[in-house]
Amino acid sequence: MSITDTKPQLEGAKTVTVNIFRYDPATTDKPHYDSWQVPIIGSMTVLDLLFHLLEHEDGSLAFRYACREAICGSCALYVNGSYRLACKTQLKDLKAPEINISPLPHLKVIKDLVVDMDPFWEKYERIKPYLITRDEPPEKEFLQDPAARLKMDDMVDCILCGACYSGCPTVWTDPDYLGPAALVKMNRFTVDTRDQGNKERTKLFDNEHGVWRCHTIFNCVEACPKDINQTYSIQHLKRRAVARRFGGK
Amino acid sequence: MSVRDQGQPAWLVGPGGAIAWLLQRLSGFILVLLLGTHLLLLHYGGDQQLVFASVTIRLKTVLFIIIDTGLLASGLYHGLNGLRNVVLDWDISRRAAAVLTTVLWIVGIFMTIYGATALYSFWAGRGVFGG
Repeated sequence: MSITDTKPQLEGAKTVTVNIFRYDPATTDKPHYDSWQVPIIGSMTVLDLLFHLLEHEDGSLAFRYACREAICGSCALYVNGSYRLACKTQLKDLKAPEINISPLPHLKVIKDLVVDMDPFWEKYERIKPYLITRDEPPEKEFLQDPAARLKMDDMVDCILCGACYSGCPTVWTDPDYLGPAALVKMNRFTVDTRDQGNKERTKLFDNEHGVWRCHTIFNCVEACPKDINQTYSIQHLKRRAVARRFGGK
Repeated sequence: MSVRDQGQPAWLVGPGGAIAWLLQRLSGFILVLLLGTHLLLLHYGGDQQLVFASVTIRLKTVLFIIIDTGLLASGLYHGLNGLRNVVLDWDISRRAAAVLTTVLWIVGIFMTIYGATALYSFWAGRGVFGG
């Protein structure tokens, strides 16, 4: 039985034209877009659409996904000119006669919609994205009052999807630039009252490939599917770096 | 060179840009302030006629000398550091960045002295460049 034998027959269902970026470095085919007509079923998401194509049209289509509920960050894609999470984006909300789906721009394509995220993760690891403490650990847990926790509210929402990293013009020109996501995480620990790693983290962001390469273009803010203000975090780190130069914390 | 290609990540080494960033903000603020004052004084203050004699008188005034020297220094710093930032966006090597910074400082200092010489000529009562 071929995969098309199980294709649902949805007579009268509204359809949409879908153009999907295809590229397989293992073949001689050049990068191109494949088009299909896909029925819109209920509150179908872009991820549902990709599964529909995988199951009924082309079993070789490559894309990433995991949680299907907008918390893992695996399925970030470039849909109709915007950075979106495939699992969170409903087709009806796109309000477009055609849907164009591409991988995250400016990152090396491994296959179809799957990009190489290694540089992103390498920079993320560099910033020591964990709580650094020097004092003896408390008997039970590290306490933090609600007001202090509130300061991190925006930053802890980051799901590391890489949309901001892919959309940052400085990342495009400077391969050593840490990128918005890593800097947001850096700021998240900088404002964390329990963390004691400010001194060693400062040298990671106070240099010419750190916060100073950010020119407040705000592409990261526009790209973020979680509405995080990365530029605010980066500006906060800049002020922190200047304060440290003059003997501040 | 990408992060993975190099043994020592470039962004872990060497001085940062905190002071340059602070000075860029300060010079920008001073520029806005002095440019506004400069325009106001030129268009609404005193002699409206722009002739050699009126410029000579203006350049013998302490206020103008202070404003123009401030404009010269802050404009040069702001512009040259802006140029440095544009070039650094090309991900040049650390050595090239250091050379660029040194050259721009030399250019900036030379231009400031050169500009100040012109500004202070009338103040010193010697005419332009001592002539």
